Amino acid sequence: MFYILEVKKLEKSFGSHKVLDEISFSVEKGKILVILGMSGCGKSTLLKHLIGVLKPDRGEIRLLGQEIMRLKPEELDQLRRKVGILYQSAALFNSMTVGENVAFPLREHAKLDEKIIQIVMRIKLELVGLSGFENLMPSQISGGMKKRVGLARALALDPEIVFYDEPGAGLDPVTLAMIDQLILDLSRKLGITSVVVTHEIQSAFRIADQMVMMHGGKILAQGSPSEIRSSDNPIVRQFMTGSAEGPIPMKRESDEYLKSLMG
Amino acid sequence: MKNPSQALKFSLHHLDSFLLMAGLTLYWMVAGFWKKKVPSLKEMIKQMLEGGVKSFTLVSLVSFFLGLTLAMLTSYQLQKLGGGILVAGLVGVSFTRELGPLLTAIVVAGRVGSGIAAELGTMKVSEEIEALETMGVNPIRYLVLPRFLALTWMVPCLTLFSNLIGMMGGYIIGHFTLDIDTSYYCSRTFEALVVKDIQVGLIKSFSFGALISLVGCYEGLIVQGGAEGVGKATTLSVVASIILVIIVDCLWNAVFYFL
Repeated sequence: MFYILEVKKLEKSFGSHKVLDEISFSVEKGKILVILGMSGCGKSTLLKHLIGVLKPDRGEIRLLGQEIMRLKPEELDQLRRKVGILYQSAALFNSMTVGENVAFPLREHAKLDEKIIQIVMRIKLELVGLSGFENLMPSQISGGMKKRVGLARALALDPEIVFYDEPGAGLDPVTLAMIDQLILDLSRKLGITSVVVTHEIQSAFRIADQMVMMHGGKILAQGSPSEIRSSDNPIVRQFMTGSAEGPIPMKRESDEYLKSLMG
Repeated sequence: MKNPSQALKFSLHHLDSFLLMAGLTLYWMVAGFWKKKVPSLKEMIKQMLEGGVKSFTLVSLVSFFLGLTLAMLTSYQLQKLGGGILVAGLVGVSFTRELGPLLTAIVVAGRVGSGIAAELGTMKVSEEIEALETMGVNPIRYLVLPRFLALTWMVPCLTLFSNLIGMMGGYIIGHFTLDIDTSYYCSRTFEALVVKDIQVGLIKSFSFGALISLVGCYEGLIVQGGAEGVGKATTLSVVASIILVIIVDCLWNAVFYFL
């Protein structure tokens, strides 16, 4: 079986704090993997490892068949052209117009005629439902639109895999549903693999082929959405139902609280 | 920073990464040619406008008033000796060798260096730099190199104007308060100036331009922690640039003193 993304026993510590512990999973071509977890459970750190921004202490990551830790900087740059990333804040270049943002990867990496670049840019904007907005600056459009522009830019070079960092953060349910539909279309129609990091349960179950639930830097459960839903792990259950009471410690024990108050 | 050894380690670490960034900038300046990744003309013009042309008014203003002041103070003393005309050479030589480059560098550090640090710092904070990297675009080549090239060329240009306008300030005092004839003032200035004076000033200002752009970029790229970090980086870039410019100026003076 050929996996687009394969992670084996990934470990990372910041100082004495272990943020990733024995993380292993794999994704097949064209599938949608959702990485679920509470804020601060290490999912964003994991994502930064997958795209080669952070280096793990131990373990290996194979992306598109290549071991990314062993790649030279130029080889990593080559690989990254086949990878799209949608950032939580969309990370648009604020000094460029919407159209220039989407055209940026094309201008940098593909030797194309300016007319073709313009056409591809409009196609990608049309894909996210924003054609006609190419001359606006990022500061003139809403957060949801920025995110869609970010997605158009991530898709500019026709990537084989797209990473989404909290696509739902700060979006209204309708825009989120539209982005979810887009992720599904990309996977079903174009065979683009997606890795989505999120904590929006509803959206996660709408799109996932496969789920990884993280907690405290470890993988708590993984499998198909129905397997996760029927999990009897109390932490997974609490996360699914979104209740404040349960095994996930949010408040300190009362005697500890008293101690911290007394200094 | 608890103790001196920690502080030393901290500054050595920064020196190390600063030199690494400077090295990579030079690497991309050369490697860009055969990788066909040179900064675009549009980007270069934008940076030169932003860093050079738009600093012209400020540099001129400061140079003019410093020229006036210098001529006033020195003529006041020189007149006692009956050598008022010496003002011409004095203003000319001190501007081309020292004041022009230094003044321009300080104005540019405050106006442009801080802007670079703030811009790159904001880009860092809003994940734009990371986005560049993950798109396979080297931020040093794409962001640092055009700013570096633009300032290394624009600071010497500004310095030339600063020299000229400073001397004009001197001339105004010479002509209107000391009643020195225009052509006499000019010829005395040219007599006092040698080509080496102008060369020394230009070599200095080249290095100042390089320094200010690199310090601004470095402070911007290492920003951490949101808006507060950007503010700190902006201040620090001005402080560090001015201190470094003055130290490098002193080193150049030492070099040229013995040459």
